[in-house]
Amino acid sequence: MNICLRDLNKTYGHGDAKTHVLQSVSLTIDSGQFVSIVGTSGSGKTTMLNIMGGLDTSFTGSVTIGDHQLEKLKESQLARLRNDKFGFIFQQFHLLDHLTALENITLPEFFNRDPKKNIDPTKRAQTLLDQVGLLHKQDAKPTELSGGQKQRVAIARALYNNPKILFCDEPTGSLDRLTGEQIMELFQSLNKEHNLTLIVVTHEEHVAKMASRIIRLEDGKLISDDMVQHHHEEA
Amino acid sequence: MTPAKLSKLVWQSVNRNRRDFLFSSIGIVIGISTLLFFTSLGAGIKETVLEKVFVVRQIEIEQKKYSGLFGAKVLDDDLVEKLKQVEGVTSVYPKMRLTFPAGAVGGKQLIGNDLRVELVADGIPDTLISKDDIRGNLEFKDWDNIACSSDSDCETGFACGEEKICKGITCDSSADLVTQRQTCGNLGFCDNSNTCAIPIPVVISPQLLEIYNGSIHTALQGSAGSMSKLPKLSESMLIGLGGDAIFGQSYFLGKAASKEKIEKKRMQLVGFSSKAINLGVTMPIGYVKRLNAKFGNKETSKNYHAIVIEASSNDQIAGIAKRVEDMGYALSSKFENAQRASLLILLITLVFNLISVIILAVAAVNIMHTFLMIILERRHEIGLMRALGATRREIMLLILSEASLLGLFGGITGALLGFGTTKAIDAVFASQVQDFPFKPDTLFAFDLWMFLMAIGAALVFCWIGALIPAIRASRTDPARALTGH
Repeated sequence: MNICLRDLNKTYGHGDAKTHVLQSVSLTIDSGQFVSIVGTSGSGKTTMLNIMGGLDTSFTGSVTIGDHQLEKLKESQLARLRNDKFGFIFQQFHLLDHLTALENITLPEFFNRDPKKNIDPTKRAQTLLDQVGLLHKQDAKPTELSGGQKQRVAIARALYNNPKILFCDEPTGSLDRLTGEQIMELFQSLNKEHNLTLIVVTHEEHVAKMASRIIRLEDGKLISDDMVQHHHEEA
Repeated sequence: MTPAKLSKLVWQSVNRNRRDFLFSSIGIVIGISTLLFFTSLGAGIKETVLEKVFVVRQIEIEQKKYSGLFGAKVLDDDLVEKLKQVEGVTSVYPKMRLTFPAGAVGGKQLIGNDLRVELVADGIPDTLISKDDIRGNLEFKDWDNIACSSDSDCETGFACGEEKICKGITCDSSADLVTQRQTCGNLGFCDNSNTCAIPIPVVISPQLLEIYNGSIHTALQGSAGSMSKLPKLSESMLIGLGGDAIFGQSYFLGKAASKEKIEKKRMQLVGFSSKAINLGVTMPIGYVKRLNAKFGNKETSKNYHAIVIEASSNDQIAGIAKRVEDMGYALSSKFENAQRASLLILLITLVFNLISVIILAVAAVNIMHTFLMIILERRHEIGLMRALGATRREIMLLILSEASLLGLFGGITGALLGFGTTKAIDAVFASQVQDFPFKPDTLFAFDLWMFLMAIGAALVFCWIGALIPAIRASRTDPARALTGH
């Protein structure tokens, strides 16, 4: 699923108070790419991620994901696309404290409209928990998990419906450096093993460099778009 | 989202916020219990007042007391036929009073001595008395006018006469009771003229018994003589009791104007009916017609003193009443009293139900407040659901389903509380309040629709309360909710 942004603009406010969050951003992300979006606070990186993920629909320009032109989709079609093709990971994890790790992972199942995906939610969640190395924590509530463990559960939840694209907003922002790197390594393996498109918003350079492409934003404008050469790849 | 998935989500959410939901439901529980309490109280009072004290769904026509130059319009068979044609009328029952002096002797079986009293009686068609009102073996019908073609059509002790009417055969009144029974059958007896006869079946009004037990009995306890020993009476004590009616002579009014010989006939109480005369006895109309023709005024003996019209429903009553008045006849004061009582009860019930609705409205505001608060707390959760693929409609459905669960809980609990309260009040009423005429066994009347209405009202008020929060939740911007902006 390719992502194509054409002349993307986003503003807040009116008149003199009008703020340009994104200004004429155009770019293409190919299917299976691991992309970091870097920028200072207020540069528009999270806004861009939300627009690409169909969470923010108030923009001008064009956003095409695969065959879908987001600005032309109805609210229900967009919801279905989010459920079916996208996975989301947030800095604050957004796990529901009253549910166990296993129950948190099966949350997307509630909004699954595809009868073909008639899978056993518990088995699917256990497979994913095993994949992120937390099967032994399946009955733990989020309050009983460390930051890194919470993020792994959030990743498992994002992977529940076998998404094509994973949108990650500061996924390491609430983690220490070592745990952050472990999460990024998990992203790398998901990218390689499942050809998953990964878009990671971060302000941390060392995190950004773990992606294969770095897009830089400043004051809502795209200022650079570079491919990253990894040492282990060169070797 | 399938109903099963929705139910699971709703249960998870309600379970997490159970304390908030519990507090919110208190208002609904109180409102619903109050609503059910007052509705059943209104229905109970209506049932007692309008089914026992005044009988609705019926109009009684009387002759106008103040007539014009040409006299009052009489109530006769022609009018009965006319009234049957009026739209909405299901049955017409003429009533005829005895129009000559009569007395009665009886009571020995009950108090040891015979009492002599004036006999006030009227006659009504057999069909006006429900079979359920008859408790004795003797059927409420005109036994002196049984048509026959052969002896086999008649009861034991009777034979088919020349006029094709069953007539009593000869018997020996001096014989013992067993012999008399063998000759005259179980229903009959051998009268003084040595002829088999069947007593006149009579019914009395249950109000008469209520008035006796509630007021007269209490007053008589302080009196001197045998009357002070009169017991409290029940229907079962009185059924089957009899006495002799003396037609053509009373103790106070003297003899009838007619030169006919005084006629003595046995009467037997066979049941209690609201159709019976308030003070006196009611017998099949055939007896009264024949007796009036014999002892009464020849010109007026064929006229009825009242005609009861039964309508198919209460809604028809007003129209029929208007039609009858237009025809130049007066309505009995009973009808007007029933209408007044009905209106008063309706108004009181409405006022109390309005209070219940106000309580429910306040509860709905409280629910709205709670839901708004809960939704604010769950902003991230709702944003996450939207990110995971929930549509606005599904979020709205989720919140309204939570409100439905709250409504069901509040409705059922409120209905149970209301029902329990009525039972407690009934128990106190039965044990602490002294007997009075028409004292009902219960002050309340319940019907399935009341419980359904109570639960329905709880659901509606919960939906009203949750509607604005649900709309607000469905409009949650997932991007803002999840990034904390």
